[in-house]
Amino acid sequence: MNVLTVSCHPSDDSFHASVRDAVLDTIGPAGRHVDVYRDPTLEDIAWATDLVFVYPTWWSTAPAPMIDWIAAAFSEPRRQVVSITAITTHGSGRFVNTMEGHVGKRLLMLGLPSLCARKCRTLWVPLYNIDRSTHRDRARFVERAVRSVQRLRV
Amino acid sequence: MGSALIVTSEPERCGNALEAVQAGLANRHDVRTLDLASFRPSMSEAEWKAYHTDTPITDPRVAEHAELVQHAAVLTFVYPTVMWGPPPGLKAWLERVLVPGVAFVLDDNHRVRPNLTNLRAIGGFTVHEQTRRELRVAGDGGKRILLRALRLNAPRRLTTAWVHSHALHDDRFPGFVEQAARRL
Repeated sequence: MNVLTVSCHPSDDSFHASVRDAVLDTIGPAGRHVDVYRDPTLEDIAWATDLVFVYPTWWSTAPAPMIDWIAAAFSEPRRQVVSITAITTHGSGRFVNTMEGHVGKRLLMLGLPSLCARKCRTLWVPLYNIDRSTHRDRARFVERAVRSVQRLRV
Repeated sequence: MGSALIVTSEPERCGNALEAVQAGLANRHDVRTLDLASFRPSMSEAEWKAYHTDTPITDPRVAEHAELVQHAAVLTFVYPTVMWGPPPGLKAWLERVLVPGVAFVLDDNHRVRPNLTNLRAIGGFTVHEQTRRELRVAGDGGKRILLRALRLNAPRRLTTAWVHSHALHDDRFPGFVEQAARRL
């Protein structure tokens, strides 16, 4: 199992950074990591069999640097990829996101899998309404994120 | 004459769509085109930290764009669709320019309230690099972002237009684009 975590956030001084670090700790040293804000390398995409995306949802989908990375990484199909996990925070609620069309979810849970292995598994791990969330909501989200990648631990 | 803004990312990948939009809007509007070629395609750490303050805009170029957006009666977008959605250049423009105080305001309960009070029309003109069948897998994210998410920030009465093509050298595409832009 070759787990590649793709994270995207401009600041290490953020809730996102703590989610990312918890995810990376859980996956362990056998996994690899690309931070598309600092070093959007494509070196590991051919190696990866399991992709974990960690990002904030802005304007319905992933931040621009992640779109850029995904477009470059999937310029050709990646049939060796058998699972995609998306761990993301949303400013607005589930209802508003559904009304707006869940663009990021469609990209990662429907679009990319069409370029991966035929039976690519997907898992969506969202936190909605982050601006109105409590400390407890966020702690539970980190736990969910950790649980979602435990199956990927080598 | 109202003011119309054309925001375009990589128009060279859209055939003659940009010229067609400009022509379609020219009779009834003062048209201003913003080509995002030299616009930084990511939100910086400083901008992210400023986002929830009273002064979320730190870059003079972003401030200029934000002012144009707030005065625009017509907002149109011309771009190639990449990975079921807008390309990184346009996505970054939405993130950096349409911040609290520009497209929307956040109320005391952190709920989004519309702020584009002058806006009367939104139009999107895009060339898909994917085939119809590939696009159907996840749908058109750009259309969802611009005609649903962005629309939530505009007044209820709004004219919209959406024209797309799957072929870069589709001869009829610029004609359709111009016709649609004329209605805005």
